[in-house]
Amino acid sequence: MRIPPLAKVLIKRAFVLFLMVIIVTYLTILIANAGGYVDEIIISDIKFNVAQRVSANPLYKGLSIEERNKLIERLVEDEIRLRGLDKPFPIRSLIYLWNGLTLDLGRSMYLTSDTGSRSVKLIILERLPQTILLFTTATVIIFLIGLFGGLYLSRNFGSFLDKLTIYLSPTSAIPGWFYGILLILIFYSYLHVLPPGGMVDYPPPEEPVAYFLSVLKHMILPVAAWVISSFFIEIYYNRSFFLTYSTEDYVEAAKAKGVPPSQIERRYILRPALPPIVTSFAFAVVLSWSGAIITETVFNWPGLGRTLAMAIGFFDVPVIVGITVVFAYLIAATTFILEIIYGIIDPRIRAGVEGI
Amino acid sequence: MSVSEYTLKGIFKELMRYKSALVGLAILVFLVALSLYALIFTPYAQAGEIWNDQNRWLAYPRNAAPEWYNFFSSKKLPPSILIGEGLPNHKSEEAEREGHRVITYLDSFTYNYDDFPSELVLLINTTYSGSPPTVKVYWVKPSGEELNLSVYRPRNISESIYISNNLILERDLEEYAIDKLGFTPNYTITIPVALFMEYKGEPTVMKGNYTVRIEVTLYNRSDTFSYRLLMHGKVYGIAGTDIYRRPLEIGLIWGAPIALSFGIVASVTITFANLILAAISGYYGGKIDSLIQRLTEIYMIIPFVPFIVTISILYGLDIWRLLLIVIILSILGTPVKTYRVWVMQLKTSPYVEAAIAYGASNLRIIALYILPRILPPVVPSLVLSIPSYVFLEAALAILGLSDPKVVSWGRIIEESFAGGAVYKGYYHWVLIPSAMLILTAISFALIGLALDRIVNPRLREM
Amino acid sequence: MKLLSVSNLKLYYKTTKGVVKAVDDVSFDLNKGETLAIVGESGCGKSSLSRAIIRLLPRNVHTYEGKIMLNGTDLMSMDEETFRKEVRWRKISMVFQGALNSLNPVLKVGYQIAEPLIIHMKMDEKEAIERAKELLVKLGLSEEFAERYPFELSGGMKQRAVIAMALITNPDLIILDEPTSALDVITQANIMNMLKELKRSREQTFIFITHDISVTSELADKVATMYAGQIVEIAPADTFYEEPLHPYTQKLMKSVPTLRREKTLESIPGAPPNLINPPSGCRFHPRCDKAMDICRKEDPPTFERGHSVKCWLYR
Repeated sequence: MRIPPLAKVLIKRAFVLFLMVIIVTYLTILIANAGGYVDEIIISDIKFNVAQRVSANPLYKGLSIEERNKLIERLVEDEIRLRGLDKPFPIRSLIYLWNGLTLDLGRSMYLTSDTGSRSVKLIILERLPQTILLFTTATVIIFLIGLFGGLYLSRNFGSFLDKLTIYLSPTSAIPGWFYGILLILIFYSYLHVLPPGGMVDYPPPEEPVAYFLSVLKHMILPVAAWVISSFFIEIYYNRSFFLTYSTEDYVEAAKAKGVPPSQIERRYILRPALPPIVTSFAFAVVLSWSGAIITETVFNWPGLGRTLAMAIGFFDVPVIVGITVVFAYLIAATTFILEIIYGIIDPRIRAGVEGI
Repeated sequence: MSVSEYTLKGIFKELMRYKSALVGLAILVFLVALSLYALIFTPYAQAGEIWNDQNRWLAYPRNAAPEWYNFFSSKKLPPSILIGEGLPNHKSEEAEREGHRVITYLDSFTYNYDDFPSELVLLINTTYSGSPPTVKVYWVKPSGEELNLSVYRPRNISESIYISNNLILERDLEEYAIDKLGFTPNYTITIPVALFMEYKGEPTVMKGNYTVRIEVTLYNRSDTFSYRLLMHGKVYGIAGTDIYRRPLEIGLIWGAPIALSFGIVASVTITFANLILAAISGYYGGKIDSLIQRLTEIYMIIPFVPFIVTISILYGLDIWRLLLIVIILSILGTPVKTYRVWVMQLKTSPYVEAAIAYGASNLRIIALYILPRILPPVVPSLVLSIPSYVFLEAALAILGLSDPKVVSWGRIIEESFAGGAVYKGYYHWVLIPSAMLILTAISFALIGLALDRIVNPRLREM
Repeated sequence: MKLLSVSNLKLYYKTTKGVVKAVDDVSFDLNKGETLAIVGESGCGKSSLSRAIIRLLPRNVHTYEGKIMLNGTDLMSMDEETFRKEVRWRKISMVFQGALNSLNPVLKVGYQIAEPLIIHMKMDEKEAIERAKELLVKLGLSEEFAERYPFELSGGMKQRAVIAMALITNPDLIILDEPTSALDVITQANIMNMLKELKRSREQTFIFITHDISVTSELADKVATMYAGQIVEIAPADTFYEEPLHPYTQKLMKSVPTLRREKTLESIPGAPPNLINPPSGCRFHPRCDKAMDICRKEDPPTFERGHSVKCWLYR
């Protein structure tokens, strides 16, 4: 069976990307071990817990100090062996690697999911949708504003709105989370109209529509913060981008041919521009998820970013590694999907021409 | 679109024509001046230490707003007022009673503000042998009323007596005030309030001339005594103070070099690293090119922010090591791919081919022919990325990951959150360092965007 | 009746440095089946002239006026939408300079050639592509290229495709703006032969713009010389090559090598004029060895000495 050249290219890329996820995961594990420091924390944690358990247990009340200490020591050793901490780190790191890649992310040290489970995978699965909800909404809104605003301005190059956009684009040098702080100050501290954080009112409304509206209310400020931040620069970049594409020779040729303006915009400007547009959109979405940590902390939004911040505060290494691995997978997956889409859109790739 | 025909010099000359860029440059010059001032005229090396040392700031009021706040407000807040020895309107008279020296000091001052001071502190310097001096403090309001502010016996050579923290005195004065009012008012009567109030249903300040009379009894010929009375105000300086009494203007000055150097060093180093690696990759091609491309793709999969935050907390980085990590995590990335394409285009240009033909070494070609040509179109994004590094440092500070030895604007904002500025209404604590960050970002953005318009000829006015 | 009659055509652009007078009061006529070649140096306004005729105006247009009569219809008075529907490609089509980028990289070649039929003749897509394929074959390309994308074609093939695209609606007039400049000599010759064949079999009217005189000699019935935004001479082809009247044309001819005769090659001194601030009087006078006093002061009108020439020598 002849494999079409597109499929060959894609399969090769899938392998390469997977290899990279492996490398990034291993790197994360190495870093997260912090030179053995984390191990020390875990071990002292174990010692503390065991000592507590032993002194609280009435069974052991009668023991002498020496006997108790020996017992504690033995229990600690058992626990260490149970957790696999007696093996040297290099070997353990490979075990962690395998676990990480198969998304068997283990148990957290402190954090729990809403249901009380310590399973890192569950914790992540519980929080990831919230991050996706918030940031994808913001990214889509920004993308659409940028696209249509940029298209409009490229057609009306040099107009007042055009100049206004250029002059106001420095406002985008300030990141969304910063605007978030300012918006909270204005709309909560000063005006008291919008909530300062969280995802729903407390206590959460029972009825689905009310719940949905409550979530929406809590999404207003964070989404607005990012929209304000990206607004002008996004329109500006799209405008420049479309200007480049609309000054291409084949666009002029199409105009000469008498192709109606709406078709020119669709077929001669947008279509060829699609690959870079799609790429930047996809990466914007994925990067917005992994950059969520600060925004979610500012807004106390119960997503993966805030979970990461909490895990870091608790030195909860399994969660830290788990989240980082999940993000790496997401980025790799997006890259891969993009390459598939590219293959469909760009005829040069379909023909198997590499290195475009 | 490939490499531009502009030289660096040409670009900067052109930049001067853009008003927005000039505004940006003006702001930048201001910030640089601020940073130089911080480095040269302040004990910058110990900045962190001094900032963290609570004892250094006792002379300043807590949570004071900036002085210019009074310009906008109809209610004029008082600044800090200092009276006593060496200051105007100070009189002293010495007498003898029962064999001891008794000195009577009189200080007067005019108070016409609409709000009460925040604290009263009596700062005493005394030496004594045997019995410590007895200090009686009397307070005379413009109405003529005289209030007894109790008796104190300072034991240390220099002592700060927080009159306004004297709970018994507070209770007494409160009773007195309620008595004078004839009813219990709906506002709290603290000591500063009691000392300055008119007896009305709303908290009103009695404006006019106040006199403080201090009678000091010294029990030994050789005893010495000197004092000052400090009334902490509610406004201070250009930027106010925080909950630890630290004047924010000092924090702002100390934060300037950090913001600028972090942003500029990060952006410049990363851009140059990207360019050099792209040049190597594009020029040599082959295996080196493939290797660098694969590494770039690995880099692109690394989630930058989680990595930075993780490393930052697990390794307790100081700010320069943090900078190093940020650079290491950014030396490869999407820009490398773009620059590499330019390098490959340049490689086949006639004058590079000519250079190869006359035997120039590869290093020479890259350094003298290729890099100078791909640098100009890169300058706008170099400048434009500086704000993002400035905010990255601020973000890490706000997450609590900042270097405790460093005073940065982000750290001040973090302290403001921890100190409840948002809930208690100390907006200046949050907004003023924020304004500095915004100012820095906008200055670089203005310059960078003007550069962007210069370097993209198709997008200039046609 | 003349097919095309251009009178006092002007096209000026606004730029940061001033107003560029790219086409400054140009007039000429063209009969059906005739080929008019327009020659001149780079920057003399020839491309702008072609754009002025087909109304491809840039954003920064300052002045666009004059009269363009095609088969008795006044084109200048038409509004944009009418012009688009009735004139574009149905009456006038164009082959662009640098045709290599005239084709949309993400659309198939066949579709792009057929597109004018679909848009203007409301033809069904399948049928239109069939016609496109027929035309490709007539121009010497295999019909399978209709299913390909532009990047799969060589320079010469793309040029043929673009010419096919210009022909498919059988327009009255085809403007070719330096169609062969980017091609190798052999392909150039092939394309010229193809154009000659089209001229013969369809009685196609061409306006052919080039900076290379030697290329026009095979195709042109009339040759016009353009200088600094103005047409300084229009002559029948033979007269143009044998006995040019305008000093500029004479110099041009002297600078072209001939195959059989011995010839000392001469170049024209000086640099092409600035279209924002052209020289006073006759624009060529700074570079003309026959310049007289009046040439510095007054812009000459067009005189008829057998053919049109704009020079004080022929007063």
